[in-house]
Amino acid sequence: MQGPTHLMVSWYFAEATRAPTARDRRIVAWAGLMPDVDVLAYLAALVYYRFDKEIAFENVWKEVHHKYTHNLSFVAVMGIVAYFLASAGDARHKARIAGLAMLTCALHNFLDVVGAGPTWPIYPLWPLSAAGWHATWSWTIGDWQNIVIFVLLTAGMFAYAKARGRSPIECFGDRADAWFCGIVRGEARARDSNPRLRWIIWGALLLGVVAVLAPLGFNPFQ
Amino acid sequence: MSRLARVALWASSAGGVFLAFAWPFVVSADPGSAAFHAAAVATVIVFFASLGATLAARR
Repeated sequence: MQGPTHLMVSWYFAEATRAPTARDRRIVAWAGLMPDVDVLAYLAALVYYRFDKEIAFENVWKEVHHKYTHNLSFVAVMGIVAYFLASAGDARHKARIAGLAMLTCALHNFLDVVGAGPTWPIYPLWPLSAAGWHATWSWTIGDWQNIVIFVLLTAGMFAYAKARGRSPIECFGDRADAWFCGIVRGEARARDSNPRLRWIIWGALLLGVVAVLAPLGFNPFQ
Repeated sequence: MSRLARVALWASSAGGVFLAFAWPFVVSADPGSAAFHAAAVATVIVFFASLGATLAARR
């Protein structure tokens, strides 16, 4: 599934399981996206190969994507990181946040088996075993199931912001979420606006749209 | 209703983890298995439905 889908699912999961603070919800949500951090290797490869997408894909992305970050070892690493990043509290609280982070990270793997396409296996036991696991019927990124899930999650973001006063935008910071919810709830005009913050948020939204459309083959320059 | 949704959310989450990490070693490593297809799609549906129901019931 697409990165923004993973991030939204993980934030909703943190909210549904009552992760108590915004910081904890952010940790759980980003842990659910982290398996896709290997996209950085592709970006580095693009620069290294002077933006030749075919060579970067063949030499790096095809080899790297999913292998090192879509497995149980990476889930465990996410749990350790989340434990130390969790908001102040006793060991039990930190362990709970670490458990939720591991769960969203593991669910990322499951959702990719179902909805990342049959050519992108996960590697459950890597580095102990290089055996991959995939489903031949797995939905590809552009299939309608993935689009429907993404649209529903995005619509839910507006509905939840309106009803509860917070949303997955919280992943980008409290002020970003307050700004978004203020607009959705019609309260934004009453507050002082911050032009710098506004540009950051619009930039993040633009990157989100690109992250969704680019894997679908959308290229306005062709 | 809210309790049922929460139970379904935890159960489907556990089911998803099992299907991703244990199924190929415990049940079948056949990537075209009809049983896996049915179980995975059912788990996804229950997961998203229970996630929505749990959030809708939150106060």
